[in-house]
Amino acid sequence: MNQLLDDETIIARLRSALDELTAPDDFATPGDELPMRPQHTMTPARWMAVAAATVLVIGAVAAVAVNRSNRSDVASTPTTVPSTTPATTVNPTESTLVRVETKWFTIISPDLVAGERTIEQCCRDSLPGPLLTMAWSSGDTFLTLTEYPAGPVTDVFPDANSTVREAATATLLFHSFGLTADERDALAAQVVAGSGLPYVLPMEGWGLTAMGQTAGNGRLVQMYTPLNTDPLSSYLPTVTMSAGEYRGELDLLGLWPDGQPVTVGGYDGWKVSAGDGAVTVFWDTGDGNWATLRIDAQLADRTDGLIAAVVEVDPTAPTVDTVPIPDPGVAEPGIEGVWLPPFTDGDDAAVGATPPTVRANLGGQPITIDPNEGAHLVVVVAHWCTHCQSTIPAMIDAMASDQFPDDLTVTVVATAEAEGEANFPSSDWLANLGWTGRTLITRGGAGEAGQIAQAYGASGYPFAVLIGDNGTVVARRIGEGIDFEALVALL
Amino acid sequence: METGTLGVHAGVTAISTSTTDFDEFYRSHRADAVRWATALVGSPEIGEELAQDSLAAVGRRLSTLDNPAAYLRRTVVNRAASWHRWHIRAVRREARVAAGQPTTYTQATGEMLAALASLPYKQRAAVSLRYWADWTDDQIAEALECAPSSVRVLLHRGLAALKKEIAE
Repeated sequence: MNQLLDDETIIARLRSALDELTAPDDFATPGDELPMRPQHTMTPARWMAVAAATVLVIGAVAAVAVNRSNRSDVASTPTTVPSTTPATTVNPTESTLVRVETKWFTIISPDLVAGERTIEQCCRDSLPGPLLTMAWSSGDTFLTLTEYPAGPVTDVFPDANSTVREAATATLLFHSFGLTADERDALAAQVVAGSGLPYVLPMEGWGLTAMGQTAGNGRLVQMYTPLNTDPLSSYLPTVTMSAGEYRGELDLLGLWPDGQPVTVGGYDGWKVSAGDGAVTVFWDTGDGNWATLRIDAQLADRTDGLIAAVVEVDPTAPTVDTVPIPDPGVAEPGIEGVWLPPFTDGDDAAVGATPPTVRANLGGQPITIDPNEGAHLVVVVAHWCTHCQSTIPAMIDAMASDQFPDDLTVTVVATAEAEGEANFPSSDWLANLGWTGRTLITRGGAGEAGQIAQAYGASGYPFAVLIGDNGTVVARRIGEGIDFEALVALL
Repeated sequence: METGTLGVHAGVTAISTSTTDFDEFYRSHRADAVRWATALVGSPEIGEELAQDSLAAVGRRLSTLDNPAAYLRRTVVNRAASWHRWHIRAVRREARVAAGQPTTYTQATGEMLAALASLPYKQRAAVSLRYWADWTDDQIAEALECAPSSVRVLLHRGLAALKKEIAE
């Protein structure tokens, strides 16, 4: 189609599209009353039954405080609704702020930074999420039920691992763990509508394990991100802790039948690997709530360590900055392979040579400069080096240019760090210059050459080594005026 | 006013702020917050929710914030990012279901929204907030918690990806 779109054209189309997307009059007028949030389809009578039954069967289920929050009373104190009373009737013209009462956990890991604790509401608006989940167990086997509005289930794909039953007022989706499909079908056929509970499974040996509504109530959520992340990567691996209402976690055992029992924070739970490589760990917190720990695929190899790092904490404790941000530390590098010859004027003998592989573990974050893993630009600087002050900003500007390859990995080696010298420590110095990307910091002394610098043949600072896709040195440059755009153009 | 502390209810973040101050802030920032959030998630309904939650978060801390507007920007961007992470599967499912179905948008808008939806979140946020919402690089950097130079990289890559998506 159109191969010649320029920046101005694409920006104009972007503006037009977002103008159209955000055009509704609903929010065009500042100062309107808080808008209505959609109401759920469950009847009040059903939820009264759910609330009462939850107390009877499970014990203390998440107490939900619904706080009216229009403009005139947003400052009011939240009102906790005892779970033994019918839910507060919410005026459908007002929005709600939902509060969650639950046990809470934190991850003690020096290289993960905790974000703000927030409340995650579920499955509202255009997201057709499940409304009610129940789980029964008999020994190590489970049967779970998810109730959807009557009609086709649109947000899941029933398959060989599930059983669907169409009821008069709802569609019921069953999953199981430890059962054959026939056994699941037979049990699902026994589930009937209850009086004290939404549904009951009147089978000897089977008891209700968990129940929750997955729309309306909230869960506390806190996301952790690695301390050292690549700011140029659009993918930020995360670990997410949540706790609150049961949302069908046991379904995961049926959907991903590699579940393994684990102990998390003193509670029995399971860990399950999803198809995308992520790991979900969940456990019953014993107070009617459930907690989950979702670990992105990139961090999945640390699952067992992260599980061990989960501890229960006082939910009234401050949640921001409770995990100390450690000193980024200094790497003790491992250097493998033949070191490059020292850089000198004239023809560079290192061009075409294979540079060494540098490995370091910085604050728990492994960083490797491996010539066999694609093109690399290694920039060696020192915080006390006056000629290095303009190098980092020049490099950052070059990275933003059209000339800079997207797949070129850039690592700054802040070497010869020396306390007492100008701009110490290196981490602060680089951050002040705008660099928060891949960084190796090594100790030494002012005027000394660090090991990594020597391995690349640096004869002074700043110093840059460009390694090509074939794993050999393309060029090396030295001095304050390194032209990074011209350098990477050699690739 | 307390901020970020938890009241007598376990796990409950108490709300205690000046209604008058919050009223004024709410009136002057609500429309922008909803627009930003809508652009970041691609849905007016979800955008409304995220904006309301973000405004409520500002309200809880209003008297202790030096720059509530900046805090609001950051909160909207962060909550939209969180929403993307939590609902990416649902988004993809809906995209598959909606593929080929008529929409209420013009074809050009539909193409661009689909292209935006294909971008990694940070690129989407950068190009939307810079070229449509007219945020500065510094404001985007603060919201995305990265260096301004990184924002320029995101913009460059985001525009390039949009061109590629639209051209295909």
